[in-house]
Amino acid sequence: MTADAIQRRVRDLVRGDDPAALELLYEGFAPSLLAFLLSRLRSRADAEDALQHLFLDLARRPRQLLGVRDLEPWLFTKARNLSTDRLRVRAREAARVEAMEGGALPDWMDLAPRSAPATADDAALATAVDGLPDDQREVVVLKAFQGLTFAEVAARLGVSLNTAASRWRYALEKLRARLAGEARHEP
Amino acid sequence: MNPDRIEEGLARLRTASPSPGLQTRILAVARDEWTRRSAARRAFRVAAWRWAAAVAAVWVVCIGVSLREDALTSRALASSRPAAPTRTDGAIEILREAGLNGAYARLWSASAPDLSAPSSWAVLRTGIVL
Repeated sequence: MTADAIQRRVRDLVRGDDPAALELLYEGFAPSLLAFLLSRLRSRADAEDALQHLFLDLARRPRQLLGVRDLEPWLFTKARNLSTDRLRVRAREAARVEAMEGGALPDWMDLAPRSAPATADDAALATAVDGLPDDQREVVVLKAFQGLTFAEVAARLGVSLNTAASRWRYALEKLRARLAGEARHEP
Repeated sequence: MNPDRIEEGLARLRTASPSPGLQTRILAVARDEWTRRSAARRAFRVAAWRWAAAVAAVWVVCIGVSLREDALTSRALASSRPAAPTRTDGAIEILREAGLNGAYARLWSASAPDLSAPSSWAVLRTGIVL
């Protein structure tokens, strides 16, 4: 079902005060919202909490969905605001970075299915992705991890196609620079 | 890692898969909240209707009482208003001031309309004699 079709159906369900709207929203948007929240919060627990918070808010005020013109970017904006609040509140960034040491992947990333066990290269790349600025990391997660096109990334993030592509390019440049730096430091 | 193979490396990564039961947990909490909100909305609507109905009932009673009060007041005023003075009353008053009693007054008032007719003078004359 397309995003538009989901939006129309959700509106009908909300008008009928039917909580099935929540299931439809979850099936339609939760995976990409969770990936987006993971890219922003860089913590699985925080991202899952934020997603729950988002759905709780939708359940508390479902009629806000009736006034939304384009549901998907709207949900991503809500997710962004939630994650920003959460980032502002939490002050454990340093502890989280410490926990990543030892060649492990940051906890908000996995290896793709059928991948071999994580190598030092995977961990180095994951750490480099984790260290990207927020806006570039969001694009990397949506484009590379979720397999979205630039147009889809731009629609979800509410930015232009050029901006999404530029962020992707800057992110790759940063990753290259960082990994090249690490390669130079290796014995 | 070879910096030129970053995109290839990125393809090996993905965001962490959700915890087991995440969907069930989130949807259960959200559904509970939806149900609670719906029930609260319904209860509020019922309470609002009841309040409006109570206010309307009080208004109806007040208007009824007011109309009834108006009707009773009007009726009481009508019944307590003194009757219009008759010709005899006026005559009695005038004759009393002149020192005459009520019999003259009754006679005068009975004959007054006819004073202009000479045939009625006899009656008046008889009355005065009486």
